[in-house]
Amino acid sequence: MSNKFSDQDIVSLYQQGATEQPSAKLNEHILNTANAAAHVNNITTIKKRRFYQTWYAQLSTAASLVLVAVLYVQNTEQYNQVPSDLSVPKDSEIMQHEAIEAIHVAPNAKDVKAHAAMQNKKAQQSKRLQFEDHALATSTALNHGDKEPEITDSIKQKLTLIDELIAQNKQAEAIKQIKKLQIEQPALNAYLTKRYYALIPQAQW
Amino acid sequence: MNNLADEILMQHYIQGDMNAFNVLYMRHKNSLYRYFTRQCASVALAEELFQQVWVKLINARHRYKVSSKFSTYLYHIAHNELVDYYRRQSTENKVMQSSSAQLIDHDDTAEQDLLTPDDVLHQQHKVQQLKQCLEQLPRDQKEAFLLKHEASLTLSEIGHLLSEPNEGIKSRIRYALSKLKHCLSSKIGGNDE
Repeated sequence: MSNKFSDQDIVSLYQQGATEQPSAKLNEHILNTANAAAHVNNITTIKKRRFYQTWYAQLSTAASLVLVAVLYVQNTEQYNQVPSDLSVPKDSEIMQHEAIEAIHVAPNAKDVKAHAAMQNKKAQQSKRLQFEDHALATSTALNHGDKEPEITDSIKQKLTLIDELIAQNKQAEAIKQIKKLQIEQPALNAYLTKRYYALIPQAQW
Repeated sequence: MNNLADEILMQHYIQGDMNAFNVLYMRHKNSLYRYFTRQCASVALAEELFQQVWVKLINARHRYKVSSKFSTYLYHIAHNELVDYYRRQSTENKVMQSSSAQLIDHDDTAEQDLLTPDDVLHQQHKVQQLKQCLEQLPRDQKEAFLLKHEASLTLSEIGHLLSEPNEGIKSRIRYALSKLKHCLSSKIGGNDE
């Protein structure tokens, strides 16, 4: 008996009967509620503005930006400036500074004399250190080949011989000669290393 | 405005556009109303629940997310309202005892204009019988049938809404149709005889 109707028939019959509607009064009531809610929504939107939309938020943001920019520019200039006298203070300045400090610390005449003596000692020590530094710098410069060492005729002959040996591809013999020359003339070490470094691979040294 | 999707209309309404809500309401009011009238004990109760659903939708409009389909969202609220109602009543037996004669019918389809008065009467009779058969369906089957053929939701949407697997929904609708066919055949057959 149930085969009398198909699924489609049932759905079609149902849709034919599906004609009920809410009353006009109900429609009106719901639409009024929705309208009131939308109206409240609009008012709330006007009242509750977001923080970033307020004038004071915008003003404070602008002020902060200006402040940060000013600080950045000022600090950048400071960091970029390298003062000419920024290097190590001179010994005389240090000593002056120390003398002033000593006067403040030891106001007695005896103490001042003792301090002056000590300052003299320090000055002498400083001069000695300066001399030693200069000597060290000169020797370093020589070692690094900053200055050409004094080359005598006999050394020139030996160098020519080494050059010829290298030209003849007799590198082992050339190295022997170089080593011999190094022992005889230790001051030429840096010069020889510089001169023959490119000609003879380092592994052979 | 009429061509816009439900989800867009809802967004317009959230921003305060009342016209968008009007369109949305006109689109869904009838099917939602019938969803309740078919499952509630009286028209008054159906109207009350219908109104509550719309009020809830209006009040919770800011929680609506475009990612979910509007009709699914609407019927989700409706389903919850109905469940709450059943809980309040503490029984499922109070569903639709009154006659569907209370409901106003308007059989003014073009197809019926071509039929003879007898045919129209016979058709109206079948429609009434079907409504009575629908009343007799178990609640879960009836709801699945209504969500499918009244709210036009897909099986997966109904499954999501009722928290049931698609297969379960499919079988509910199949059983509902089968019972309706059987009931209608027995009623029409009985009357014919």
